[in-house]
Amino acid sequence: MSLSRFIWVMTALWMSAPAGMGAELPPSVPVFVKRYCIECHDADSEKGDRNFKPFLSNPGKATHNEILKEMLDQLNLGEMPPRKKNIARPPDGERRQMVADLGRYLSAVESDKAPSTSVMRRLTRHEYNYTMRDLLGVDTMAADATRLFPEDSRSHGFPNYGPAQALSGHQLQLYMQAARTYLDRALVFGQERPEEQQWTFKPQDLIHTKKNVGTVRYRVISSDGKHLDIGHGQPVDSGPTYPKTFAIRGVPKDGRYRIRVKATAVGRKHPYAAELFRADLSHSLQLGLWHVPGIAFLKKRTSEGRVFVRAFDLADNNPKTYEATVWMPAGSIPFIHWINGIGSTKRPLRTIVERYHPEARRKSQTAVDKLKEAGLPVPKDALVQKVWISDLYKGPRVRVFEMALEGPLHEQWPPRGHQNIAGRETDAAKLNIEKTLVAFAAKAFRRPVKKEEIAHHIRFVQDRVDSGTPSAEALKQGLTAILSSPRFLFIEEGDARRGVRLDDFQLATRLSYALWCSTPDERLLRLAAEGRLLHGPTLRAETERLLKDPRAEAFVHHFTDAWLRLDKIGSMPPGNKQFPAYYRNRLESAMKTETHLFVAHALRLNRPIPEFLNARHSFLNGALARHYGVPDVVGEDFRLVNLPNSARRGGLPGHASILTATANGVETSPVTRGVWVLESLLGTPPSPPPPDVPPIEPDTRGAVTIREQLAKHRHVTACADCHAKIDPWGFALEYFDPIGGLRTHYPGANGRGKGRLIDASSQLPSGEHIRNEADLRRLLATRKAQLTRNLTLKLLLHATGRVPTLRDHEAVNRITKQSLNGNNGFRNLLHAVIASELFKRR
Amino acid sequence: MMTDKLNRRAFLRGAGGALVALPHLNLMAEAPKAAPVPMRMVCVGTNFGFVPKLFFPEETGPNFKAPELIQQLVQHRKSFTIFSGLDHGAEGVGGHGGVHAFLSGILSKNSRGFREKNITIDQKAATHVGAATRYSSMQMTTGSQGGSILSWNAAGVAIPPIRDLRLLFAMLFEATGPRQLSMLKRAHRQQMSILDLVQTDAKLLEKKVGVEDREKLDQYFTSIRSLEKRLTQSTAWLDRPKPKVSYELPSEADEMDFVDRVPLYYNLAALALQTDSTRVITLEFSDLGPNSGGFPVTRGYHQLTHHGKVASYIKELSIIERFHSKQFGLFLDQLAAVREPNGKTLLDNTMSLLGSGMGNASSHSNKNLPLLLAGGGFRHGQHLRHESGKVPAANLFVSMLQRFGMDTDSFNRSTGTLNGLEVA
Repeated sequence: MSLSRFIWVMTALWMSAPAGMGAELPPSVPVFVKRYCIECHDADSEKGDRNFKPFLSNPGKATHNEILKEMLDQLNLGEMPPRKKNIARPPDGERRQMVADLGRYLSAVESDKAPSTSVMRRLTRHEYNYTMRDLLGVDTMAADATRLFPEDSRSHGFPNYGPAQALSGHQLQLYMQAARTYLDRALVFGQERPEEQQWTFKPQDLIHTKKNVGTVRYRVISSDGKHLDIGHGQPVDSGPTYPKTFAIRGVPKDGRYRIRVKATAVGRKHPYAAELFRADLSHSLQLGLWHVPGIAFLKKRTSEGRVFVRAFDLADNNPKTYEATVWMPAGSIPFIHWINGIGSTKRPLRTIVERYHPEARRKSQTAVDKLKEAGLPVPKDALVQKVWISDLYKGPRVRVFEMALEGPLHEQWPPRGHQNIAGRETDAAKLNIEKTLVAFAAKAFRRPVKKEEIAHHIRFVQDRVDSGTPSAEALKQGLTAILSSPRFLFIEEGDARRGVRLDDFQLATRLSYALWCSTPDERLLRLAAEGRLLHGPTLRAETERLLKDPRAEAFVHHFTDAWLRLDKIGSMPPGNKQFPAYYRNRLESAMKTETHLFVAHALRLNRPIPEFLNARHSFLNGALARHYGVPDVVGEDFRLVNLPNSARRGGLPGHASILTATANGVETSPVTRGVWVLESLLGTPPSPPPPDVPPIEPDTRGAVTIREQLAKHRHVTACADCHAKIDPWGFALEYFDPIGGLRTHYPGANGRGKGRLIDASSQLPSGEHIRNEADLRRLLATRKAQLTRNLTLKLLLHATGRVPTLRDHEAVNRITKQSLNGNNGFRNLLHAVIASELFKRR
Repeated sequence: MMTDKLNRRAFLRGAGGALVALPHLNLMAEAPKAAPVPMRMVCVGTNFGFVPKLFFPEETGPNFKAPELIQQLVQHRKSFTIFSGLDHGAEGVGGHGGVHAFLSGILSKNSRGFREKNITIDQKAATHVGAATRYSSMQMTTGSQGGSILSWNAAGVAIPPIRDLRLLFAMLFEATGPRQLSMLKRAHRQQMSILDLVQTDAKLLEKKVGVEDREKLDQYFTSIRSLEKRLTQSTAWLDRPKPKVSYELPSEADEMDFVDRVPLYYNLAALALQTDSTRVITLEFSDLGPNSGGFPVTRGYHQLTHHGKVASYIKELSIIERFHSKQFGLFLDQLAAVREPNGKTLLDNTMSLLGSGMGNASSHSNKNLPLLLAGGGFRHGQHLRHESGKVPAANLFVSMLQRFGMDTDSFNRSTGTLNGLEVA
């Protein structure tokens, strides 16, 4: 059984099986087999090499489960018994009952086999980075040493499920290398506090050519050299503007740097026809700021490895200084760009020259050669450039006057990470090796460490020093080993045979990884050492403390992404041609931010769980508001917005992030969206399709609507039962296109113009009719108990790294009931999960 | 005509380099014994592709009439297949910005959602080689700037190719300096001792955890062992002397014109394969460098590719493009001259791919990519046409990876292996 199928089984069972049920074969199964199957599948005929006699002689035996799975698939597919003369076929009702019985039984079998306790799990990639940030004080965003790590495998969205995690020799080596990289960055043995420096870059420093005439296509400098115009804008791929000479070496040291750019927008109001530019110029022009770890990353199409800092809304015709402070590793180069620019200027410029500035016209060499070859006359000065378009151009541009850089700025010396390991000592030779290693190991292993436990590490470093390796180097090697140890890389929760309760340190670790995705801080470890953490009020107070810490942002991001499957965004990117705004306005990151802020808001204010469905508010910035058709929200910053009815938003199913994650970038799929509702909101995932069913081939020409295709699907027996449960939920969201934009029609033939009118109505298996997404949200919001139970299960999976099994049924019900009897608040639910027995046991 | 005269000179120069350079090896003593002969892979990519009508034959099947570019290597027509109708679909589109998807089928900017990002076929193959050769793969380029990088790793990061011929030669055949050698060895030793330390930690942990955690710890122990093995192999490479070859690079190799340098890259590639220094090579051709690369052309390479069907442009362009296919053919000559212990030639034991992520530079089209695969033990000698837009070029890569010995049935956006390309 595949893992996803297993998790499906686990979750599906919550809704069907009573508590404490073991796997017992329903008596209906052998009866059915005797009635419809045995005639062909007996010892004599063995049709298809299947003989069910042994099964019938002892139906309860576990060894038959494989053959039962096959039966289930065949029944689902409607293939067996075959449609032949003289072969009895079960009536539909009986077949369905059989499918249900078999399914429930096989699920219970799987649940019996599931690990009843947590399985030691590895830190995920993001947990590893947050942990390094807290242990070593390094900025893991700016120069991520884990970039080569293989992606974490996820089970239904969650990357921290132990049994699914893999490890290889290659990855172990990457762990060693990443640890060493971060240690080199954190430790400053033998280094003086670096002096702060200042650099100022004038326009001529930001451009290769001294020419102040040209096409404005990329950059052009004014004739007085006082400013530089950036004339185009393509999101990140090409054309960065950066200090050219400075870029050869970049910043001299690791550290925080203040970057200032003096700039303004010009030409947002211009004399040309509006449709010439592929940008919405009703909003501010924006200056994007990035940095890269080295000059090689400034080459075309090397966007991977560039670090985006932020976008600034530029004032029109009003030079102002825009500022950001960022951590950059030595060698880094900051660069700027017109981030919401008009894309390639080639075509608009050609038209503008033709239409508005004919005096700047000039024929290309190729065009002249073509005339010559055809024997046509070539105008005498065809190749002479009389006036440059740059001198005439009045279109939109970003005008830069100056860029300045200041740093490295160190708040303390030695830096925090160094102090965590070596205190204020910067001479490694003066450190006590044993004490240093024992103290660090305790932090890294998240529990007290006796010196005997790491005697081999201590001896190793000591030996190195004795044989002449410089102390700093020897120590770094020892620390690298500690950070490559399974005691660091794995979250170990002891041995269930000796008891299922976690000890204080294990609990501290669970709590901090649940809420910070990072290592417990000093206070948590101290409380654990004092044996006070397991005490109810302390645990609650600590949960509150952790949630109020900025580090809790990690919970919001990673829990939300796993719960709502936002991790899927980006796996099927929308087409650039079909959805240019998605890239130009950086909608992908904006839509994720919306959902993160929305969930953070619910957590902060303890909002009731149904509000995830029926909220009237959300968090938008200018780009997203435009995408949603919400007026009066402009600029880069996000803010709380009350949604007008006309926007048809509110609640998670209206979030563009989710609507994008559940589409494939080209067209919508009611099936995928339906599955999302069942899985992420209701916690009743449909069973995976039986083998050998061809997927629906979406027809983008609009000749056949997705509704008609799915109707066909629902008429096939093999598909009907499940799709009747899935599709209606998805249909209700059809008013939203593949990137969550509102639409009234499908795209027409060849993706152009309007096609058929959207019809989002459907009937749920329960009989209710829904017309659209508003009905869907209203209906879902009434299913409080189901929503709450599902969220409980998801929170438990995130917090414990374990899939709750049938044995945990009652405990889960208790949490759910407690929430429903109280105010059903999200923060309270999280508290209840953490206070529960399940959180405190393996 | 003047062009023709210059043309001949350029070709003589190019060809001459290769003829002189045909390697004389004294490898006999060191030839790997008895071990099964490995499959190799060479991917050659040009930045601007080829003029389609000069590249694709009109007829399909074995009896195609070789167009101008194919004429240049027609001596091997039984040993290669020309593919048409293959490309990367919408994923490879982007004009010049789509060329870097040549060997992956995925644009760098769209790579995030993929488990191995926009990994290219050579890097996938390199993971299969591991530490079995001195270099798991090598990346070469003739140009210094503006090219389109051929090789991308599983993190979606471009692997910068090496232009410097002297450096390539030194990597392959010159002894590593004592300082660098000891530095490399020290790094390996360090990792080995760390593995010892963490193994002790793991054993300690084994006593504390439950039965359900055993599998995870076993994974960790297995990882230690496999990494130890790899480090041992890598260290062994440091101690093993590099192969001796009697081949000499001209002293001014790196300053020579494009037309004179190109044969040298091919020579080094052939030698690297023959000595089993690496089994995976990419070679990129982009800008011609100074002096029009030594070609008798009056316009820039890029400008010529935007020929707008001007006959004189196409004529000049074809001088450059003929050179590319000619040189590739001479490379195949070199491979064919080497007999390997399995009784086959190095040509048979190497999959040599010539192509580009650019389908038609004149219209900036990334459709219908020019692709020619030689050797590798496939049943060749045909022009294999697929219906345009129906079959991802990645399917060809799956077939190649399987032939390379990898147990895989997919690569990036493939939908299967390539129909019509059979193993001989």
